[in-house]
Parts: sequence; structure tokens; C-alpha cells
Amino acid sequence: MKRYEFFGHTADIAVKAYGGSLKELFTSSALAMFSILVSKKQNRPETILKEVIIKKTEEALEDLVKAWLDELLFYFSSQCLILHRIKSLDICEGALEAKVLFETFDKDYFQTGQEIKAVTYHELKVERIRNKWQAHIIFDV
Amino acid sequence: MSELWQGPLEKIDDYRWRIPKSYKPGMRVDGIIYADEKLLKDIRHDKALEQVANVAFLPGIVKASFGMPDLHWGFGFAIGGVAATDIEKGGVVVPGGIGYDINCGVRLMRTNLLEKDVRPRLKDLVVGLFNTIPAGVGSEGAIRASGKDEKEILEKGAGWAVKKGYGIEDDLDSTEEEGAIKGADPELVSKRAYERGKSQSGTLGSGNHFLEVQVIDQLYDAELADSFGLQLGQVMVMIHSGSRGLGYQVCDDFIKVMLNCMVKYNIKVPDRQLASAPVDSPEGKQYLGAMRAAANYAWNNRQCLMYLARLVFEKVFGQSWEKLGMFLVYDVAHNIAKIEKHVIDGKERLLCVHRKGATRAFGPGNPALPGKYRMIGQPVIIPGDMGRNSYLLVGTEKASEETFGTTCHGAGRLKSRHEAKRTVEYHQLLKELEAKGIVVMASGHGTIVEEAPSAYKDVNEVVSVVHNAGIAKRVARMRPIGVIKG
Repeated sequence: MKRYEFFGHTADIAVKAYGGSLKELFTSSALAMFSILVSKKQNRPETILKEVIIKKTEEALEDLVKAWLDELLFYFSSQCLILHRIKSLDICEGALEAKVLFETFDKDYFQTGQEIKAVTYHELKVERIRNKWQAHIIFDV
Repeated sequence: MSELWQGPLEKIDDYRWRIPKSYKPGMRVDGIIYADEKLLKDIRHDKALEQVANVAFLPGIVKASFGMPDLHWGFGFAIGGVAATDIEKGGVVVPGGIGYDINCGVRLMRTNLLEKDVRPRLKDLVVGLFNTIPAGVGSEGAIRASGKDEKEILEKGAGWAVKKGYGIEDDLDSTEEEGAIKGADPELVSKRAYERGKSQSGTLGSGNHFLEVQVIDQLYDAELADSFGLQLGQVMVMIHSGSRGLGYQVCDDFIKVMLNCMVKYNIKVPDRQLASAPVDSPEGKQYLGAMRAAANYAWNNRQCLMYLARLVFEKVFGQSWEKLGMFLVYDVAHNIAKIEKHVIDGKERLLCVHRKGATRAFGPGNPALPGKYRMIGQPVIIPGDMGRNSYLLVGTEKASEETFGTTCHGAGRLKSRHEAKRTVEYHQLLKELEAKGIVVMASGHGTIVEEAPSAYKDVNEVVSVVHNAGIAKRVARMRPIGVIKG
């Protein structure tokens, strides 16, 4: 199954992310966001990782996915940290708890993409269609 | 978006169209779009017109919800959208009506050089600019500011850079609000916003931000060109950037604050991105204090970028920037809200004017203009895409009467980045630009493709509409010869 797809939006970048569970959906959304920011040029001989714990609580799933992406974007834009792996991710009744491994940005190993200004509320939607989860997210770039 | 917008559009004249307020219950004023038939066709292809109608719901909105000819789909507010609210009548301020990149704007610098002086060294110049001006994702500023400096930047704007020696007093005189809008409150800027902005002072950013070396290829009014000291073939430098991560975070923080205000102040709007609060409420005042701080950060940022560009020209041409005549023509903000007095129904009212992807264009005689421009009107700088043109115009009395002294801000996107990537080939595009004599350097291939000229409307058509509609007057047209992008 495709994890995410990009859609035409005149000025910004619109993404549809998919997952069999909320955990998968939130992972796909994070991967989609980082694929806009950077792409890997080559593997690193040695990667120093930084582990961060993220905890967020929001009533609506839309707000929770935005809070999750906001947090990841903050680490990228303030400390140039790139998502390496999501070690654990639990979502239960509006509460998210994750252990995320980041690696540092290095121009030798990453090709830069688009800067993301924000995860917007515009047409933000998380829904369950049959057994699958789907999120529609517009990034302001 | 291929579906055409089907709402009602009434023709007012050749350059103006109306979305009547009867279109949707809840609209308080009409929508008015400045466009000719050709541009309107493009505008109808996305959701921008629906957004112009949605903005007409805002409490306190006066006159109309305006759309400029470079109008395109934004979030909440369309880009190219203009709306003013009457503060005494419960008028609101909308962070989404300014945008994430608070005080994204453009500055234009002149030089004494002609194209023939620059051509032989163009490659060196572009490489020098690219190596000196930090651009693109993850870049850090060459001009370092300490924590204490950061606060000062948010209060003093470009004045901070000038105090540090990165410019002269005349630069401030040639900047909207003299490079620092009053009423900024650095205490209202979140720790997160500081952290996102701290290493980015003096960086260009990515996307549509750029630094261009341009050549004047057309003059429209001999008298105006003389008063600006411009001639055909003259080399100019244009810088397009904004408030970087700091501004993005301020906007994001306050959209969250304002979402909670909707029930508190009984504000009913059709889109969450139009979350707002009365200008005269604690939340409205706090947002404006933080927004102004971010705006000052952006003016300082463009001042630092200009300083770095002057250094590169000095190195390449072996003369001081003053000898090279590298003086600032003007700097405009095109994503901002301002408290301004305008005449509504014969009475002067205090308004909160939102310009989101729109440029202030005050006509001759306006007291907000510096002495040197008071008689000719405010310089208006309109960047186009990297393959075609950019413009210098001046504001008009008619803009003051019709659009709260506002005009367009650029070419406006036509194709999505996704579509541009699908239809434009990187090496082919570079070849085409090279054939036109344009040298381009960017930190990412993707940016060049996404910013391809074919992804934009033709700025010549956009400018022709505002000129013919009388809401700005053409002075000079430039074409790029060197482009730096993030």
C-alpha cells in the first residue's frame, strides 16, 4: 500500500497519507513531511542519533496529527534534526506518546528540498474509510 | 484543481469583477476582483474566489473583500487578498490574513553599473552571491545575533543592522515603516518562535524567495524614471525574503489562540484558517504586538541580505558599494496587517488593513511616505518569475480611494509545485534560461523546477491590469540575468 501521495495545490503542498492503523497513519504523515524537507543522497558510515520523547494530547484527531507534525517540524527547523526512525508510537483516546530517533542534517548526505513554514488547518482532515485511515494535510511552503 | 469555480461574477468594468454579497448568507460585503478576462480564467481554476467570498464574512469588514490580479488559492485568505476591518465596529484581525511568512517582502537596490559592465563577470558574481548568501533548507545565517540582539532586532528591525554597521541611515529612510513598525512587543513572541528564528537571521529561505541581479529593459515614464535616477540597461538587485521560522511560528501560535476566540467573541466564519479576534481585544492586541516583532525581524533580515550582496559586488568589482551606487530604492512588505486611517462613506475611519500577498501603494502626498517619494508616490516593487520580468511602479491616489492604497504583489502561481515537477525537466529548463542569458544557482534542483517560469502567471499581464485599473503606475521593467535561490 502507498504510504502517501502528493496532490496539486496552487501554492502549497497537499498530501494524502494512509495507514491501516492510526499508528501507521501518523508514521506515514511524518514520512511525507520529511520527504518534502530533505531526501537522502547516500548512506552515512556512522549515524549519531538523538532520542526524543514526544507527548501530545488533543481531542480531535486532526488537531492531534497537526500537533505531532508541528513537534517534528520544530526539531527540524530549530535544530536541523531529521527523522531517522520512530522507535515507538502509541495513540490512545486523543493522547499520543512517541519515542523518535533523529539524526543531524549534513549536506553531504542529504539533498535539501522545500522549507515548510507550517502544517495548516486548511482542509485538514483525518478519516476512517472502511478499514483504513486517511489524512489530508496541506503544508505551507 | 481543474474544476472551474461556478459562483456568480458580475463584470464592473474591463478590470473589475464583483462577487455579490448575496452569493452566500453571512457575507457582509461584496467581493471585488481586479483582473482582465484572461487572468480571471486562470483565477477560476482554484479555490481563490471562494476564499474571497469567505473573507467577506469577517466581523467589521468594510467596503469589500478584494482580490488582486495575482490572486491564487491560499489557506483561509487567498494570496492576493486584501481586507480592512473597522476597529470601532468590532473589526477583527486574522493571522491567516497576513500569512505564516509575516512581512514577506521585496527590496530593490540600484547600482551605477550597466549590463555591459556586469556581463563579463556575471558568473563570478552569481557564484560569489550564492556562496555568501545563506539559502535553502537548513542554512544558517552569516550574521550572528546573540539572545540580547534578537530582542533588539524585534524592536528595532533594520535599525539593528544599521547600528551594527550593516547599512546606512538612508537604507532605513527607503524602507516601509523605516524598517521598524511601532508597537512591536518581543515579550509576546514565544520561546519556540525565538528558537526557530535564532540561527536564521540573514538567510534567504527557500521556495519562491530569491536574490536577483536584474537589468532595466523598459522605462514607462521619463519623468518618474529620472526622479528615481534610472536608465535602460542599468543593473539592479532585488531581494525577496521574509521573517523565516520566527514569523511562521508566531502565526501558528496565534492561529491556535484565535481558534479559542471564535466562541468567546461569537465570530462565525466558514473556514478555521480565518480564526480571528477583535483588534480591540486582549488576543487581538497580543497578536499585533507579536506580528510587528516578526515584521521587524523580516526588515532586519532583508537589510542583512542586502549588506551581504553589497560585499560581494565590492569584491567582484573592486570598488566600494557607495562608489558602485548601490543604494536602496525601496523595501515593501507584502504580507502584513497595518492600522491605517481611510475614508469610508465620506468619514475617516481607523481600520486594520490586511494585505496578504498584496503591496501597499500609497499615492503622492501621503504623509507616511519619506520626503524623497512624497511627491511621486510610494515605490511599489513587483517580482515576477526567474525567466521573465519584475517591475517598479508607484502608488496612486486611485489606489488610496479604491483599495485602501493597495495593489498586487507578484506574478501569482498558476501551476502547483507538484504539476511543475511533473512537467518541467531540470536540465532543459537550465538550458532555456541560459539561452536567455540568465545564470541560476540554487541549493536544490527541486526548487528550480518548482519555480519554473511556466508555473507562474505572466507578471506582465498582472502588472498591466493594476496599471490600467489605476491602482499603481508603471515606472520601469527589469529582466533577470543572475538568480540565487534556496
